[in-house]
Amino acid sequence: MPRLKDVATTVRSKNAGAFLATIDVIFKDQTDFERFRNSDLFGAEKLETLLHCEKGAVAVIFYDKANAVKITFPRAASSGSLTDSDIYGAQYHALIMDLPL
Amino acid sequence: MSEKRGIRMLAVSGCLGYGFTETAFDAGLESGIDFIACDAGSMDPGPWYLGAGKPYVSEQALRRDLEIMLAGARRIDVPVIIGSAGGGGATPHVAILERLIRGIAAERGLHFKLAVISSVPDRDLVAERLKQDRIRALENVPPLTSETLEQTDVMVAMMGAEPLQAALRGGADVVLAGRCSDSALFAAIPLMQGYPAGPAWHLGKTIECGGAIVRPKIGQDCVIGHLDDDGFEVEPGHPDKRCTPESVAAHTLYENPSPYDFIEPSGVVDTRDATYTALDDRRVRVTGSQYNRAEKYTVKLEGVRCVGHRSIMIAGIRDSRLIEEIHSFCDAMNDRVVTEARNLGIADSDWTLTIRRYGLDGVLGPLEPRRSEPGHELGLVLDVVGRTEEIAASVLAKARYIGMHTEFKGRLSSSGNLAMPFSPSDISVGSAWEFSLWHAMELDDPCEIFPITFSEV
Repeated sequence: MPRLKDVATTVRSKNAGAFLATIDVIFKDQTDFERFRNSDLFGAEKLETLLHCEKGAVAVIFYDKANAVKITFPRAASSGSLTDSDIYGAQYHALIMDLPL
Repeated sequence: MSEKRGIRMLAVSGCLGYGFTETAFDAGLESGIDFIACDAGSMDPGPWYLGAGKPYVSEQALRRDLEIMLAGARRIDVPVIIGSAGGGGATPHVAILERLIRGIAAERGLHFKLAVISSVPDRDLVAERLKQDRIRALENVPPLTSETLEQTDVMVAMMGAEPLQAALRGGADVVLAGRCSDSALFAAIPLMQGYPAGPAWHLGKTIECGGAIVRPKIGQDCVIGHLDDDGFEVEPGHPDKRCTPESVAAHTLYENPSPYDFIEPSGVVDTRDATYTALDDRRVRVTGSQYNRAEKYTVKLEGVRCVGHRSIMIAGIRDSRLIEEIHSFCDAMNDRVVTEARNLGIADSDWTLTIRRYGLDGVLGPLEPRRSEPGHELGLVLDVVGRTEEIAASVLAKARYIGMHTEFKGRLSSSGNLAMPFSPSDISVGSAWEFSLWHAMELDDPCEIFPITFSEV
């Protein structure tokens, strides 16, 4: 079963400051980018559920210049706070990389 | 046809102490450089480094990078600008870099005018601005209260280009700045010389991460930026490496909530209409970057408060029955630790225990969709933060005993639940901090909270 990780050249995440995290998905070319940008993968509702975010809290931006999709969302715990488990926000992308296409 | 003017800059590394090759550095200098700059800090590694006053790179690494930078800059007599010194950019961090710089100068017989720019704002000024409603929380941050401000133990303000410019106008050869906008390190001089703001800031943003835009991506290395009145160009310092339109365009994604807009103290850089063109197989030209001046000049405040002392224990679980029962086991542990702590006379509010379960949901925590699917092995980290070191140690010792000996459904392993790798098992980590300040504050003047000290070295 093909998954996002099989078609993307980059699926990564990092903090955008200590209170937000951002996931970047980069496709190998414009064809793939156009093919998948409108898919269910990047739907607001689905991402809100996946990331445990309130309605409207997840921002999805399509960046044509890099064939990329950017998903920015609020961190539940700020970087380095008591219950945080990912100081750099480096592993959030794992939530979407295995999603079936 | 008259030759177009241009200014050429060298970004030494994505972070001072992360390293760079001498090949790239020398090639950069050889190509004709007007100034050298390097970002030296970040809040990425979390709140502890700001709070504890320590850099997140080793002094040995800092010394190595500084020595090459300073010696090279003095040799060709160009300014050096270092920002977010020592990682956090507060007083102890800057002092560490100043000590290293003076030490290198003495050893190598280097002489220059040094400007040190502080970035620790006066508390009373911040409190006053708060009362005047001139401090705004950034996204997903609670509004600042005077109580939170009082609890904030260490804070810095991120300066823009103007204090750097003031230092340079004062004749500084080496500018050592506290917390600073990364892009401003590279935009400061071009803006003084009247280059257009959009490309100047976008170029700064692009090269301040050093090797992030370079392929192949093997460690950090130098990047050369060239700015003219119509746009900018980037290329790696190292002759065997390359920048591509993809690597440069993709960089605007990095660490940013938006790929298009970058907020600087003085305005917003808009890259929507930027075009990225390959000049050859390793150089990229960018045109079309715009800049919109902000109505109010604001600086980002970052601050941390100490929340106690952290001590941890690491242990492995391999017992298949325990792994099956791990959720109820952890619940039982948590309940028992509360009881035992109270029996020692320790208040509930004086400690927290976070049981981290690697192999289950240690990484993603509550977001983990597969937390009912443990594997054959679990790594447990008992993470205690106590109001004092003694409280943390006492609670952790109890938690360790409880973890080792608590019963669970189907238990056969009546002699012990945990495989400890170390003796001692309990590890004192150090002070625990959290970010308590992450707000934008209006300034009346871009330099008003960034005093500069000049000296001859």
